[in-house]
Amino acid sequence: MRLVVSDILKSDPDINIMATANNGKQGAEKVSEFNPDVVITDLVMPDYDGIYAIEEIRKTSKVPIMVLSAANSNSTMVFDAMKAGATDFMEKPQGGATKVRDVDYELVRAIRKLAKTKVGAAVSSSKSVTNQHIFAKKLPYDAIVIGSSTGGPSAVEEVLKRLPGNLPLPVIIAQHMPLNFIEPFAKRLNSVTPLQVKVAEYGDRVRDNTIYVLGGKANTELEEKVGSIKFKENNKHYPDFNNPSVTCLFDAASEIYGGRCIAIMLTGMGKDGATGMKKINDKGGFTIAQEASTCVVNGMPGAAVNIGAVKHQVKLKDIATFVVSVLSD
Amino acid sequence: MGKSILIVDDSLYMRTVIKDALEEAGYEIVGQAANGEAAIDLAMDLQPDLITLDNILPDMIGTDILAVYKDEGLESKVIMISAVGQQSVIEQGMELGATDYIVKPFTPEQLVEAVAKALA
Repeated sequence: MRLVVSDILKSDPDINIMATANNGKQGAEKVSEFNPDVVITDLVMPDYDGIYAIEEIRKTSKVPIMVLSAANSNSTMVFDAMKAGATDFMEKPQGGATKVRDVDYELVRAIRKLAKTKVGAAVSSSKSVTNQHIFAKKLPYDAIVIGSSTGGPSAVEEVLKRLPGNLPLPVIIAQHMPLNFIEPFAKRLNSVTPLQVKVAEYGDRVRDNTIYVLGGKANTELEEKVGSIKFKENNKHYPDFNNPSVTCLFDAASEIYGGRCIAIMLTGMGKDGATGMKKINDKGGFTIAQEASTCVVNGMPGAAVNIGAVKHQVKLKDIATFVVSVLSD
Repeated sequence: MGKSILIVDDSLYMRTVIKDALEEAGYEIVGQAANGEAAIDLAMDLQPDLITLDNILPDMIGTDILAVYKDEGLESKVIMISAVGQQSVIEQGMELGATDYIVKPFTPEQLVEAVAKALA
């Protein structure tokens, strides 16, 4: 795998592979020695694994760390990697020429972006309601929906950690992600925001002041029954991406919430969610695309902008404040 | 020595966001007020270079505070922050001496730009 990754990265003239290592201990040593701009690590390695590497590196360095992991990797390991301070992660190429090419592009883009990233100190927040805002008495919106893909995990974190703990709306996130990464992702988010973050279960009521991450076993839509809105399984196959499909979520949001919806498109490859966002936008919803220069990949936000689905393009670090300010008197 | 700023907003969240953005831009936050009474007291006490003034406060509205500032001859520049669709409020504010205004939704960057422009 090291050879494959090296080959992919060598294709970019701005990326210079300073060193390689074949286990976590060696990796940490080489980081100290070479002081790279970005570290890429596997999780499972002989003798010293990826968690070891990340923990060791984080003792002395804030270097951005990308975890490349097999799709069926142990989900506890993935959560531990994130908790230990991994910055982002990506699924390893599974084989099949097309997929490898997609990953090439994504990987190069993600590495370039990470090289410019300043890794902030881990934000650990207690679950007590902190940093309260005075929201408008009559809220103009009922829900926030977010779609993201490549670069999404850290982008979503950047948005969520800046939201006030007394946010009176539900937040529903469709992040393109292998199935077994989703639970660790939700757990990680739960630790960086005062709001409760959980994986959405079919039949669950969509509650205010709660953040949901859509699961990866099927697509998820919303249904209104007896005055309450619930998550519902959707087994349709969407053309752009599935499990979870952002289009499926955004379509459902446009039907249930109409224009009383805030839709945010974050970094990602492809165009999943663009048409759904347009539906929300056309009904008068508040639509935001992550501003291009702050994206790892401007595919999804760009696609939404191109079809006229977006009212505002906002830099990642400003999105939370922007949303809070529209919910204020 | 950075220019001095008083932040007026009833939301702790907003005061924190605005404070962080302005401090990062090199300004000095000399005070924070969460209601109209404090906005007036602190402004007269501190005589800051600039005041960011949210229009809706628990005890007063921004335009009334501006009227008091005007009466008292306060020289601080004032940037009003108001909800969208409040054209008459904005006009009133400008007539009462506000230097500029920002409409919600806004980004911290937009506020910093308005502050820089006002203090130029």
